[in-house]
Amino acid sequence: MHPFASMKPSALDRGALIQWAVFVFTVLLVAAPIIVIAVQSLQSGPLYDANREWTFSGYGRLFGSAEFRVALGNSLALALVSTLVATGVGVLSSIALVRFDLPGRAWLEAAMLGPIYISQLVLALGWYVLYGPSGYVSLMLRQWLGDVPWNLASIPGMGVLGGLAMAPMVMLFCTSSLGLMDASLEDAARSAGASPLRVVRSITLPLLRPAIVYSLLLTFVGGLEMLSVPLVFGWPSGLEFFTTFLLRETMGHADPDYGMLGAAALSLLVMVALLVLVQQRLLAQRQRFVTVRGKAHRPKPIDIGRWRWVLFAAFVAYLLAAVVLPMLALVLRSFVQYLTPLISPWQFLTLDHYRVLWEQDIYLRSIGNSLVAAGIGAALTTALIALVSAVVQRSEFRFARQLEMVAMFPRAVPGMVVGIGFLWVVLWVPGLQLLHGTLAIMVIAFSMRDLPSAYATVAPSLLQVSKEIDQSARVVGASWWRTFRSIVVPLAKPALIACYFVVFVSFVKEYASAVFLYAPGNEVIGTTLLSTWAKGEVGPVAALSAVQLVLTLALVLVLAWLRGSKSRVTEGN
Amino acid sequence: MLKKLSTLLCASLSLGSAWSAAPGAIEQSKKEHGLVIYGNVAAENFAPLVESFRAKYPWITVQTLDVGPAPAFERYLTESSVNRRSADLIAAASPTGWLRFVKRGELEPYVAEGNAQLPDWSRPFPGLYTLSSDPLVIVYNKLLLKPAQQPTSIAQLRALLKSNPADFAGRMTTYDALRHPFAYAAHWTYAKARGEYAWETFRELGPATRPEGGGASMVEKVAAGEYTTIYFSSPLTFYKSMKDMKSSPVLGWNLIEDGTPVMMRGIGITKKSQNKASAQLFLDYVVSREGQLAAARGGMTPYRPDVKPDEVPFLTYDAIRNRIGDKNVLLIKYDEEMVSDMKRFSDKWHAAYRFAKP
Repeated sequence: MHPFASMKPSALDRGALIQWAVFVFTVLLVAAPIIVIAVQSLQSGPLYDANREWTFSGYGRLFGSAEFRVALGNSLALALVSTLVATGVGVLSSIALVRFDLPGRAWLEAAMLGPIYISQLVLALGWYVLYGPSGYVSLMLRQWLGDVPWNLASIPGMGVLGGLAMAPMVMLFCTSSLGLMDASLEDAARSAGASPLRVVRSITLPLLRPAIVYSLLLTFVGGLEMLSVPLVFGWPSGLEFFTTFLLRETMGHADPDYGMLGAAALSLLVMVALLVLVQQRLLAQRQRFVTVRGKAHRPKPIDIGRWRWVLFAAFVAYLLAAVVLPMLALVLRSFVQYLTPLISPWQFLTLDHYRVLWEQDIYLRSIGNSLVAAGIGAALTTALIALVSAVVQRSEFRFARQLEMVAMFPRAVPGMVVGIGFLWVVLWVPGLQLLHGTLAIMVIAFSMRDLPSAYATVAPSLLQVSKEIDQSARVVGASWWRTFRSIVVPLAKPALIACYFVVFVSFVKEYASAVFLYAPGNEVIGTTLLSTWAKGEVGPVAALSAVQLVLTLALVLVLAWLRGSKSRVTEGN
Repeated sequence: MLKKLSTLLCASLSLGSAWSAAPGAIEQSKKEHGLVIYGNVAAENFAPLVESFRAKYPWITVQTLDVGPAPAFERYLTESSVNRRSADLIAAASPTGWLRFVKRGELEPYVAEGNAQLPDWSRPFPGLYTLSSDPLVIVYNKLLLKPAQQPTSIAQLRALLKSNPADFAGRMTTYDALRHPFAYAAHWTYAKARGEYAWETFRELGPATRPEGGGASMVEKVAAGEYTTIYFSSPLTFYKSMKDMKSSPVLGWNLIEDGTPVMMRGIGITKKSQNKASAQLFLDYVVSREGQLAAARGGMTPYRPDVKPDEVPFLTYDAIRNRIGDKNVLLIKYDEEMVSDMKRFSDKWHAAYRFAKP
């Protein structure tokens, strides 16, 4: 009997049905908030108001508002400075770490990439405690020098901080790009007598160009949509940015101007999406730079002599100043009544801030909600992404490529736009009002935010699995769905577990979209950090940050352990 | 005619008695769904009051949300207009907010138990009561300011700014009158009470002051040493340091001897509350002697004459009067002029406080 004869039409239909369902669901998830924002931006009143009409006046009011133009200018300046800083730090440090024979390279690289897992909000709070206007280091310097030599509540100051926050992202991209690059080109230059600096300038940097361009755009986008640093440093000193403008106009008024807000959110989205598009165009021409071939030898790091210790010291100093000390200061702040250079903090050791976390419902509730949202949301997102990857890579679905594009699109949607979008979706779509202010809507919004990173975690490992395996399953008569369950999922299990944890960590960190979606009783860690910070209660904020840090650290350790054991398994094979 | 009048009187009287803590309120409250309170009192300051209230009525849950003086009203208005669960009571120090709220008819004109024993000024409108009467004081950093420099009056602060600019210029803070109604009311009342002297003071202190929005963050910055002094600080925000005030090596405070603004924290039941019996029980408790003592344990200042200074950790309204004299107690009242004067006052104030951020 012909093998295909056993395939029942109904099985085929079910596969197709599931593929269509996955497609439609993903499109709805990604498009719904954006469409609502686009429609709202062209309305005279709120969407739920019957007496409204189509108009462009929202855009008029937006761009006519002097406040908005100032905020936009500030945001562009902030993005510019932070792009330069992030790209400079990221590119140079990845070249140094991958190409030079620094002592403890692997350790340094892990430490430099570490901040990726820390919420930008917590990083910013740590910097504030140490270097802000009333920071420990600032006040110490003022005692010695009579003045604080920097002003972090300025756009250049905040740009530097934003840049430091995004530098690990740039590094991640550049190190992987460098790792793929053929080091024999550099070795050849070395043999021809070029100095290490010359090699970097004439070979490494030019080859790294696509990675650098990509990083420039990535960090510029990151700077535009950054909320953490503008909120912590800019707000108290009266500096307004695009993101804080959106936040204030939406949440600060009893009767917000919906048309103008829609216009603002859509403008931000369009700016970011255009930049991401440019970035993809540039990456498409990357073929010119392909140097990934079978490698004849393991790349040997360049010997830079004594300089290796100088660079090592520079890295350690950077890590201490930018990450380790601020995080320690934040944790210390959570255990003392006052943190001031005027008096030793050890006299004021206290567990009061943790007692507050324990006694006031809002804190425990936020931690609980974050964990519940992350636990359930990560599972749902992983399940969805398993289906999406299977449809994209393991099926003949007609719109497979489009599905992949849709799944990756949220990269171009700033977190705050996601928040506003889903807020309006539930306010507007009849029947969805039930979701207003619930944890469920936050889970949905966070999931949409995390589709790209989840897909990026799962897709590569699925690509590695030869298609012959599931083709043989299909040949012996298994349906697409059966193949998915019995072949694809088990094979992708390590990647799916990793995906679960990646999404989990990201849920615990999330705040940008949550600020629009939470309601009393449904706070998450991120929103409570922000509202407690706004009240100036630094002690409880520090304690809650410490809790979040410990949580993420534990999860990252699990993730590292999983990855470690996974590579052991493959090596064992 | 007379008969008609008397029936009307009877009706209104019976209506009145139906409103005041009806005997059925306790039974009714058991069928209700707990209380939600919006305001600008931090959960920590509210805690002792809520705790002792719940010891009496364990079935009534109380959720207090510190949303700020303006959003306390706005949020209720938005939510209740679409019939969503919102605040049953509002407890906010915001005279202009209350004036508008009362005018809109959103306040339940409930008559609290023991109404007659309360000072007249503490119940300015039917249904509006007072949670506490908090003095706005001077707070300073003891490590940075020597005892002779620790200001006890505005006049002294002005002199210190001239004699010690290093410790005061750019290192003083106060509530930013442009940011929220609480701050506005404090500065407006000071200006109203002290007239041209107040404006002289504002013009002198203003350029050397960095005004802020949040009380707790001002205290935090004084404790850290960024600022040395706050004038018109709410005691609720440094209450934690105040508890062990004698031993606190960092923060000190003084009543302002030549004029201490005293802020009334208004409290009232919202018209659309679905849990009115519970709300009535809470309001009765707040204005009772027992409730005032509990509020004091959270850092608030009781105003009932039958609460004695030695019964509370901080102060009472009468204790403030005794210490600085009646003419220096600047009670922040519900003055209609405060609303109509807003634009003129804000502009003039901003000209003095150029670091303020509207």
